[in-house]
Amino acid sequence: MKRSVSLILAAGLLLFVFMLTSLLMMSNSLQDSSHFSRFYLLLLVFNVAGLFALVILIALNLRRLIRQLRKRVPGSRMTIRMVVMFCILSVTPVLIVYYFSLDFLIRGIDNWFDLRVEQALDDSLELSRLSLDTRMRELLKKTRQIANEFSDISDVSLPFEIDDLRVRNGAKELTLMTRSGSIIASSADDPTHLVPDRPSDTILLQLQQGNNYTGLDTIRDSGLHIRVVVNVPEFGIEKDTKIIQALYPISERINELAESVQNSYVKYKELSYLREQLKISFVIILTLVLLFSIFSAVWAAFYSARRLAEPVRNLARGTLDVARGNYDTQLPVPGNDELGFLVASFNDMTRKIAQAQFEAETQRSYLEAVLSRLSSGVLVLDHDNRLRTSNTSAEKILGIPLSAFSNHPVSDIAGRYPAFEQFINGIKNHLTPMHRDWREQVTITNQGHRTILMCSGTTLLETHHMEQGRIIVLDDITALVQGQKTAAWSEMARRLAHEIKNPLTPIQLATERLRHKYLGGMQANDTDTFDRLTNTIIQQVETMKDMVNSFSDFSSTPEINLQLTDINAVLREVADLYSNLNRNAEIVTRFSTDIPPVLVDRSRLRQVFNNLLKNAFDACEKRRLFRLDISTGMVTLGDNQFVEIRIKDSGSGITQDIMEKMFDPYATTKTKGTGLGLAIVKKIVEEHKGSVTLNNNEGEPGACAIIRIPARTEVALAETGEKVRESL
Amino acid sequence: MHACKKDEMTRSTLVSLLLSIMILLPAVCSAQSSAIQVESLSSVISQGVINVSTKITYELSDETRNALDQGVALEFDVIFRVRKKRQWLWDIVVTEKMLSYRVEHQPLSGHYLITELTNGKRHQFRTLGSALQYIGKIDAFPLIDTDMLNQQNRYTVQARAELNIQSLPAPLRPLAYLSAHWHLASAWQNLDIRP
Repeated sequence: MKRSVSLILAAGLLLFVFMLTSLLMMSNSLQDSSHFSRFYLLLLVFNVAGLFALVILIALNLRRLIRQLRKRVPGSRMTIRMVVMFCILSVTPVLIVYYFSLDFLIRGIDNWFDLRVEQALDDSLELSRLSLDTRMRELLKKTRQIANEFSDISDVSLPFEIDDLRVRNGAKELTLMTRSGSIIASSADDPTHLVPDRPSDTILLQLQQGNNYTGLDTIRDSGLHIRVVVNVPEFGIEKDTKIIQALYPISERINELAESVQNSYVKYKELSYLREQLKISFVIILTLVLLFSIFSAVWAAFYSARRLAEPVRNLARGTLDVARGNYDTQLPVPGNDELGFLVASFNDMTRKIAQAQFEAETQRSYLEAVLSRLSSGVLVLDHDNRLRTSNTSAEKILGIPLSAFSNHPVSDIAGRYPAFEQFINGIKNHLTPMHRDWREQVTITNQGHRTILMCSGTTLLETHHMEQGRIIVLDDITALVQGQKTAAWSEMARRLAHEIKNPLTPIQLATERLRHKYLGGMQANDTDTFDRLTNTIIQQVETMKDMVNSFSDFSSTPEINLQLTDINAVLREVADLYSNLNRNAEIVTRFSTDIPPVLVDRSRLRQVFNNLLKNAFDACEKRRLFRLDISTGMVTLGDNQFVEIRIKDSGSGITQDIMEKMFDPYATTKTKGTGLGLAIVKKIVEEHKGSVTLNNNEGEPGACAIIRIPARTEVALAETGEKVRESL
Repeated sequence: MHACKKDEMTRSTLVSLLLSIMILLPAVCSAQSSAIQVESLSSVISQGVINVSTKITYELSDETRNALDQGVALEFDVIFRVRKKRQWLWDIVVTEKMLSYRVEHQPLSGHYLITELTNGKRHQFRTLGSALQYIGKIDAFPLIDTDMLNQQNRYTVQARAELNIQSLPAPLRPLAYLSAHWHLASAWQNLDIRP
């Protein structure tokens, strides 16, 4: 684009120079025909063509400007105003100069041709003519006398007499000839000139008609001569009619003067004749100069206006770009003037805006990264309770793809997701402008999982589009609450075990001693009673010892001994133990072969399976026939892989009242047992960073326990530093 | 709207065409009514040279005659060409020669002066008719050696006479180019020859 503009400018300047030169040459050719006269017409055509080229250039510029005006291109109105102004400023003085120049030119040319000068020239020519006529009359008279003398001279003596007659009468050449032009005798002052100058056929014809001839002729490039041709008087019919021609020279001075008068007269006459043409030619040149000046000025006006308006156009375009959000706009600085300063300031401004935007973007990215990495869920609602922002943790905690509901009212989301409805219902009292800072614990159930949330919120300051908006931070404290509960139970179990275990051994020992000391000496009827009572004491003490051991197991946190273990093998081992326990039980195993050896504490995992199978058998003991499905497989949750173990029974299932506290200690529906089985299962699984869930079967009786244990292998092995592989 | 534009364009094209015709018409007319005619053209081979003779009649228009009487010198060019005829291609010019004459009026004597521009010879005539008669009669002008021509080919000698507008004074030239009265030129007179 810039290159084409430069090319057009160069072409325009070249055209300007050529046209100016040709106009000068044309003007010169008119004033002095020796210069460029031959090219006059060519120059004229070239100039007209150049003017056409300029007109085309202007037309193109005008068309472009009109298009820009129609498209409302910024700066086009300013350009057209400047063009009009430039044109008026340049064309007006040129037109005035043209008018007066034309007037002066025409008057000047007319003034060349003064009537008095013309008359003087006519007079001088007439004077010359009269003077020469007088001389010619004299010479005619003299020549007639010579002719008379010739009539007396015999043909024999003619050659001798003619020379004498010529010298005597002052003629340059004297020739006697017949009327038909045949030369009889001739004499000339120049002996080298052998052939006499012959009169023309017209003169001879005139002589044949009996007339004489007198005329002013140019003879052999030696200036003007007076030629006189007369008939020689005849005296006898036998003689041929002769004529005599005499050439008389005119003096050098008269010759020069006559030549000068004639040349001046001819020149003046020619100029006078060409006066109108000359005027037209000068008018043409002046008009060409005028048109050339005007067109050049108009074209220059277009160019200058465009150049001047370009920074403004750029600024307008740049402003639009900035308004559209393109802050990288940088405009070319036109120069060191005020416009240049303005454009430079604009560039500086956009640079700063771009920098500020980049910083804001960086800050936003940083905040987003922080939010996404936060374990706490963050929700931002606007004053209409529309969801504006949420982080991934909020999605995970609530189990809802919140990012898909940006700018949706929370009521819409609550309508689709019951968990979100529970959440909103839990905090709705705080979603009023009155509550600035608040804190609330909310429990939701999502797909059967009970989640305890700790929510806190505040009202945002009145920023743009966020008047009376709220920010809600929610934390999943289910594990924390569960942990606290478990810790409390563990502490209670530990103390209970400690307090109960200590007196149990003395009771047992004392009872055994009583039996040993008194059982043999008692009477028969007392022996049965004593034996039964002491046995009861000992059995109950044993039962209490088992219970205390269970408490102790629950409260103790033994060091976990991770080993690469084939889970299928452990599960098969436990299942085999139970397969013969009840003949009514049908145990179906479906173990996946894709499960790699994973890092687990083999004995504790066995305890988990044992507790779960025992629970399943207990749940099914009232049924005559029951089925137990045990399966394993690999599942991928997020980026992690888990070994999933499913133990599904066809028992009585879990009642709704204990569903939520299934894994709590002493939460049991059984008449016997400590109620710690599932609590211990949960504890061990969580020690392995896994999860356990227990749900009723869909559409059939019974429940299904699902255990997921991370499929940790070599990496975890390196972390523990144990050479587990060797133990396999 | 488009139809209107089309009409305007057609109108402007017609105007341009008319203007062009008006400008070019004089030249066309002049070509049709020639004031100079080559009456005869003949050739003679003498001493291995083809000599041509021609008779040309010049009839000046009032404008040119007036200009001559007002001191403007007129130049006439007589152009001779020898063209080789070709059967399938266009003819080619073997040689071209030109005789130029300047005619001036001498107000002092009232005579007309003819200057042969090729050799500088000057001749004076009492009347314009005799002067034009003089330049209209060309005898035995040596045109080309027969050695330069191939006997197997056919040739055409052409003659033409015209007023040299380029020799007129510069201010008169634009008018002369545009006016039919100044376009004095004969048609080409052809003469087939065999060397």
